[in-house]
Amino acid sequence: MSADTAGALVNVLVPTLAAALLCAGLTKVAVPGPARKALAELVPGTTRLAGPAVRLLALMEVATATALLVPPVRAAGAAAVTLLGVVFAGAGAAGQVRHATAPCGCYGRAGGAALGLGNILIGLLGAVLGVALWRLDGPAAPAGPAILAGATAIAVCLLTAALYRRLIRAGLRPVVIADS
Amino acid sequence: VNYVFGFGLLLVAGAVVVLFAMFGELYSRSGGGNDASGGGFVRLLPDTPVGQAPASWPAALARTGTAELGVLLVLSPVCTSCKAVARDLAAQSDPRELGEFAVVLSAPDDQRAEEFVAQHKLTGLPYHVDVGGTWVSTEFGVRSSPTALVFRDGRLVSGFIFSDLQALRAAVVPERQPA
Repeated sequence: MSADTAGALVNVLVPTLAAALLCAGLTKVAVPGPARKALAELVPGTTRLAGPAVRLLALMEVATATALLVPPVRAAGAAAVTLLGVVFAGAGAAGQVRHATAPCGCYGRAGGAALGLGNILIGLLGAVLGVALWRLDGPAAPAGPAILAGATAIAVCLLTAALYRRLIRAGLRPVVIADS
Repeated sequence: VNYVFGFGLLLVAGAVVVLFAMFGELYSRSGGGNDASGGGFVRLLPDTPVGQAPASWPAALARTGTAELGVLLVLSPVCTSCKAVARDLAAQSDPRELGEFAVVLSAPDDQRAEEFVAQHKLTGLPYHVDVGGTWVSTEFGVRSSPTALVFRDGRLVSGFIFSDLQALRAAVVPERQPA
């Protein structure tokens, strides 16, 4: 693979992974309840530990996203992406085996699917992309940090709009005032 | 300068995410939706036989028949929204918050109903297994789930089709005053 192609792939992978992790981490910081419930259901008897564990995971996600955008530590960021991918896939597998019912709390959502097959697939995809980024980053010559951070900011806004589309739609709906 | 500009932009995007997450939570808690992105609803059940009292109350629902305010939740193991409602019921940390509620499980057979109760840990609430939904359909004409039937002194006063327990509670249960 040529350095140009590798650089282009890094330019796509970094903002995509960083935006996904940043949104996941920040929404868990703002609304930790759903993920805490999912974790407490997954490992019975850990209700008190679930809160700090979710906060730690959220911080790891934000730190990993930030590391991907700083060239000297990008390789460490890629390794952390792989690790987080394996953790998500493991949590999904545990949810699948234990027939989890509580929503996974992904992106701070109180609804949605429980930990299971979807998390296994996304976790494995994240792990593979983390390895790919780690392999490509060396010889590649990606765009500068300002461009990558800017692209990540745009990706974050697009992902947020997709995640909260119903809320946005509800906010844009005209208010009808009935005649008395 | 590159870093300052790039990360400044990212900081603003991060603040947008946090703001949306908090608005989503607020919207969800105020009954606007059943998940952070919204989507829950409570609608009046058409053709509710208001004022009707059943010919007889199943033993498990006797309290609803005599209480000043009682809410029967009609759930079914085969309905996806019912699973979300059951999860919300089980997640209530304070059982006193559900004092007015009882569950009618409209199921094809007893085994499916008991599996549903065990899976969603609904044993803390009074529940009646209504095989084939015979009782709710005969007494109140209810043939869909999740449905809520609100009773005052044993008489039906309103019926709702709903997808979100919090929104339903906000609609039918008056807010408790602090002791």
